[in-house]
Amino acid sequence: MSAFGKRGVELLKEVVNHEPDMLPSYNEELVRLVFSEIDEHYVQAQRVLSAVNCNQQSQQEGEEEDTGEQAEGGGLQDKPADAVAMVIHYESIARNKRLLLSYIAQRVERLKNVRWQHRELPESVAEACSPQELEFYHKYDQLLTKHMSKHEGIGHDLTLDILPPGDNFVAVRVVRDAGMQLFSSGPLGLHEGACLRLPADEAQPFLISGVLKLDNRKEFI
Amino acid sequence: MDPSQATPVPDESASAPPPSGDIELLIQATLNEKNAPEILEFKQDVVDRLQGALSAQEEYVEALESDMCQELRRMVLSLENKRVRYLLKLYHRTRLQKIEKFAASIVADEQYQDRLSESEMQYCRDYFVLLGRHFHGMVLDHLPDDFRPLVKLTKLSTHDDLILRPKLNTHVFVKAVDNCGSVLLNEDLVLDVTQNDLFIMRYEPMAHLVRTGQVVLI
Repeated sequence: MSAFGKRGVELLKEVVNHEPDMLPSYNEELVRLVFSEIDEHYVQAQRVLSAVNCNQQSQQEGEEEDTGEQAEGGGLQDKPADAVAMVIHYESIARNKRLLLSYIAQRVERLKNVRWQHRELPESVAEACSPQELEFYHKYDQLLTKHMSKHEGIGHDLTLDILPPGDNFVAVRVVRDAGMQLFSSGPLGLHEGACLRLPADEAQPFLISGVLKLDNRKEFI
Repeated sequence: MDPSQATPVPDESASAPPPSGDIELLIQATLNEKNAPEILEFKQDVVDRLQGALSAQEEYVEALESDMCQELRRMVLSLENKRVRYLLKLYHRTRLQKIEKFAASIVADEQYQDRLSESEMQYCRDYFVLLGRHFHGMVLDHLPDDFRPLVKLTKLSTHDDLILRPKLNTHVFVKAVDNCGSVLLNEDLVLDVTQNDLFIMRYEPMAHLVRTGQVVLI
């Protein structure tokens, strides 16, 4: 316990320094170590407190005091060393709590981004999550889907149309086979390597899922 | 564009074009929402009117689809539909992001709750509960008893010190659309705001004027 809160800082750094769009795997080991550090601080704090209380009781036997609370304050005031120890232990726990919460909150933000950008949970992200985080993801997914649904919510899929609309049609290239898909112009086979012109709003879901890529080469348009 | 092709465009009386005033209003509301540190009032009537007009025009465009002579007109109108739809989504999305960010302070403060639409309020509550459960499951339940509260650092904290509140004293770009008279900046500093004035200033003294629409954030 030489460096108070150092492990918590490491934990937070790990997620903050990671690539913004990716989720590092949940560091259960380090989280557990931070929890044990907190427990140790708490035990030490309790020990200091009970030692002070013991002293007081022996003092109280000699002289009458008004209330327990005042007596406790008096006890710590008599011993600045104990008071400082208490404060340090409590502040360390509080700091570790903040660090852990920030760690989880950072991961929550990234999980939410996954929902907004990919619509479904990629394998690589799912592996990086703890079971509780997976549960959070699915609940958040349900919540957002419900809010965007026609019957109970606003009736718009807010995860689409992130960019303002440009042309009605976009030139795209198929980068992953997706078989036959139905478009407003009729069924169309999406085979790898094909260059197509599609209505922008119909191409968008495929662009997000990585089947299509925008083709910016002018000669194909 | 070839003028002979463009002739059918100006005649839109048959369709139900979205009232352009509402579009302006929603653009302004979205800008305000993007730039203000706190959540603003939900423009229910503007959103409802635009939503209605959009659905009507979408139906109209669909009806045009069978008629090849109206192809250009269909394309122009469907592009307009897309733009309005984008604007509506942008507005909803901007608010939703803010609501998620300040969920705890909205749940704690009735003044903010009045500014949310019904479904937004429902979302806010559900989201706060979800996040709270997650934090409890992951961290708080493993801490010593004194440190378990979600919105306080310890049980001894005198106020909810873990809630993220909007920073009302951040600086914003303000444009006055109206003569607003004098605005009190602090005890002994008064600012005269006349039409078309531009300021970079703290948000808080201007908050009430943003709400009434006398100034806009840009």
